[in-house]
Amino acid sequence: MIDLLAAEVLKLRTTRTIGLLLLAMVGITGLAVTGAVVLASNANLDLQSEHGVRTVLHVSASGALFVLVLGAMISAGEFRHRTATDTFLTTPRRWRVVAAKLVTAAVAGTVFGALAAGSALAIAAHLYALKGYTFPLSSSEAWQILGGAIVYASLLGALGAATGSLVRNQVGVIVGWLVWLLLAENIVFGLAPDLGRWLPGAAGRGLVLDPNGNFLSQPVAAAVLTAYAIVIAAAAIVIERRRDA
Amino acid sequence: MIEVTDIGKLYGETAALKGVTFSAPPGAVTGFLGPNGAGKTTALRILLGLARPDRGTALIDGTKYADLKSPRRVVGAVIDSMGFEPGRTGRDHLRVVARAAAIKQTRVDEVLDFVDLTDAADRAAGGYSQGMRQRLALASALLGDPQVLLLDEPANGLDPAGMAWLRRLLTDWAAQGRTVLFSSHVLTEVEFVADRIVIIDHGRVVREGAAEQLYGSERAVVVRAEDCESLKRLARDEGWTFRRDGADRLVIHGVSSAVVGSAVAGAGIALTELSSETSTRQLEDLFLDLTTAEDHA
Repeated sequence: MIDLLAAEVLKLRTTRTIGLLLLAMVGITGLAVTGAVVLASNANLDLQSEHGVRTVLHVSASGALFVLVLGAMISAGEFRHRTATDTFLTTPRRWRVVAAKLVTAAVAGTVFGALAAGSALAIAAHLYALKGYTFPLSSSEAWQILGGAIVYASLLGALGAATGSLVRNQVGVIVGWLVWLLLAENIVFGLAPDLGRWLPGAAGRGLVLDPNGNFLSQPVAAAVLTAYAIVIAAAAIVIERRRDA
Repeated sequence: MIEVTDIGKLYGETAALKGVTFSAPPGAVTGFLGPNGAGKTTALRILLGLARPDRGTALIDGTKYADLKSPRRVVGAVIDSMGFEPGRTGRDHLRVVARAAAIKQTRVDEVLDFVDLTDAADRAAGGYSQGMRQRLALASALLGDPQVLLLDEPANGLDPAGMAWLRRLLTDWAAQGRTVLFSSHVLTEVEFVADRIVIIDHGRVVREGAAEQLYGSERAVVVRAEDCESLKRLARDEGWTFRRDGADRLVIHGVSSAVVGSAVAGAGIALTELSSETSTRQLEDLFLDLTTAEDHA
């Protein structure tokens, strides 16, 4: 399994698009944080209050969609470029491939999430200073939010890899997730918030302490997202055992 | 040693394989010959555990591919559906495979050198020509220094020099006591290098045997006459296995030219040609006869 994981990491490192994805994720996060600070200070919000910090920092997971793309690339990308044959020849026990990709995507998601969270913090602190505030580094909310954003990125990576293993179609997985997170889930959440908060995107908003709604607590949200990833990966393994490569 | 026993495979309503049985022993190059769509690739994919047979077994050294401990060290395979991540260099592609299969990274340089791809190794595989892709796939197959080589249409995209190189590789491999099974729909590729030939058509093995045996047992007699219709009637009356070739030519199997000659003389048909074909011609006729029979039926 160690060899398999090392190979998956090597695959990622030798993929051209990975740098672009990271750049996009950090860039979107930076833009979102900047926008949130501008909007909050225009609304005369006390940026240093708990509510202010949550309003500004909860957007630090805005770039997490790119981790989903990364996860889908790790798994479904092998079918897109037809490298899956080589992978299954080396590792005919396909559950190992699915599991290795799940772990790799989660680890890559953590790294991406940490870099995005770090830049969110740096940009927020810089903008606070420009507006004449001091960023409350001692605020436990700030660290909870940033930690939650990292966990969200990690779990979205795993979800992307799991759905990619299940569906095998990279573009389909990415488009499907975009439609789900940006459209379908908002409709469900609007109609039935009690049900909607258990959905993946809403769980993510719970992880970053989104102040605009009644979301799941961080531990519950993390558990829910983990469960989604594991259930989908298990389904992928069951189907993969019967499927021709 | 490759042993395929009675494998069947359905794709929807279509039977891709209808009980295929053949073997490829070590120390020999076995050519797996058949027209496009005959089921060659499906059979090879089943051998490699990439597709599941509906029935039958496909074993490599007595074991299913999926049960091999380190498959890359036992079997080297090149099959049609292999691709490369376009942004990854050839060298990195091999490094990934070596890493996953726990093969020493120094082996990457060796196989690159062996397939003569060292100069292009650090370029993105997306820019490779078809021949270079084929050689990279071969390099990937050779990484584990396997006892069994399993190649699906390996000659595709190779230039004449590449073909000669490939033939030498296959022959050397077998000469070292290893097993080589390669498929092709091109007859000349097979007959120059194969010690044994398995002919498959419409999901069935229609002939299997040593190459010389196949040539020898199937002596083809070619007769040409202006009145080809009478010739055909005669052949049908005599019960010969034959095939029309062009407007005025019949290719007849299973009988000697003497038998054909006297029967034709007895029937009073004026021939413009009576000959035995060269071995190339014979195998080609055999191949065409065996693989087109169903269409005539």
